[in-house]
Amino acid sequence: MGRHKKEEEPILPHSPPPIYDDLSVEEETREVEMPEEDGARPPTLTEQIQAGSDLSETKVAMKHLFPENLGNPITNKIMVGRIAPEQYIPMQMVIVTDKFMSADPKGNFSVADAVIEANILLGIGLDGKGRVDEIELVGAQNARDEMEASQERY
Amino acid sequence: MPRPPITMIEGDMGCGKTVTMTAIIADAYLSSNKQLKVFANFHLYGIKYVLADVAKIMEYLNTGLVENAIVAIDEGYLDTESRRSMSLMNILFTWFLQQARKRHIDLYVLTQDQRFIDWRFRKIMRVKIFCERYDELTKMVHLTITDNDRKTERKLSYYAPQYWKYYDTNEIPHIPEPIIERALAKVRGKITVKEKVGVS
Repeated sequence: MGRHKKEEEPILPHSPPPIYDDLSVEEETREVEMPEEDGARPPTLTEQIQAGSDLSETKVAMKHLFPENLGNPITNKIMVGRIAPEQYIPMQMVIVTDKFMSADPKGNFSVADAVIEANILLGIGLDGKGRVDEIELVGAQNARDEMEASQERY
Repeated sequence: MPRPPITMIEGDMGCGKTVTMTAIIADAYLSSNKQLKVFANFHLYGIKYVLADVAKIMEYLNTGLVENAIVAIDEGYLDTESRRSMSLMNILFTWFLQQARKRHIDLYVLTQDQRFIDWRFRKIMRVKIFCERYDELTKMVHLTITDNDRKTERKLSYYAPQYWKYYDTNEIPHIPEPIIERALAKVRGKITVKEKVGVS
């Protein structure tokens, strides 16, 4: 009793609720030195996002079609290479034999697994014509996008 | 295309992070006929906005003010530092993030590295905009946009000078005083203890 209690400011001092128009400010746009322009209005970021190329969809599709790691360095090389139809069966035999020969002699070996894996790898090379096509496609798309973006400016 | 509710903008120094965030705000604001509510913790020019850091936004949480708005947090590590993930402010902020959709908020947090900010934010974010580089010659900012929902990644670039007038690239983000005071108090406290026991 008799102690002077200091009046503290409430931590949430919002009664009545704050109004956006009271709190907000709008300052003049800054005076900035702009590079020389050719008159054409450059596309905004939002316009660029909305007009984005199909590159992303292409890349996502490629990612699913061409798994990155199948556990053996040779597998990626097989996927990159183009497999001629007449090479398909001999290549399959070579791959399965290689897998068998390099397997642990004391461990188990599944012939079915080896054949299926060889089929997957060779199928990519046969049907998809390899990653070379992918690289060409993505590279061409990238180059086109870069060119269009710079042409829009100059 | 609707704007995603939670987006992280990441990139090294000078790669165009702040201009990208400003570009998103400016485009959204102008396309709404200047009706969009904007909250940002850095100064904007030519855009009606409320200057508010995370603490201020938390203060407004239950007032209905921070709804149907765009919220932009520059240098996100200042308010949502990953090393302080157990702090009340971080917890409160992640609760706020989880309500972003219901509050109709589009939230943008900018950081140099996503590991600098609270992992919950990284978990919740739907889109990451990675600023690859700013080309001094062409004045283009090059971005990679990763959409976690659509599992897509796209690369694009835009002309940066059109947004220079809306922000100041040399503005130094404000470091909260309470943290400076606490850090200094700890250092001074140690010195005092040493002096007491006569250590030079």
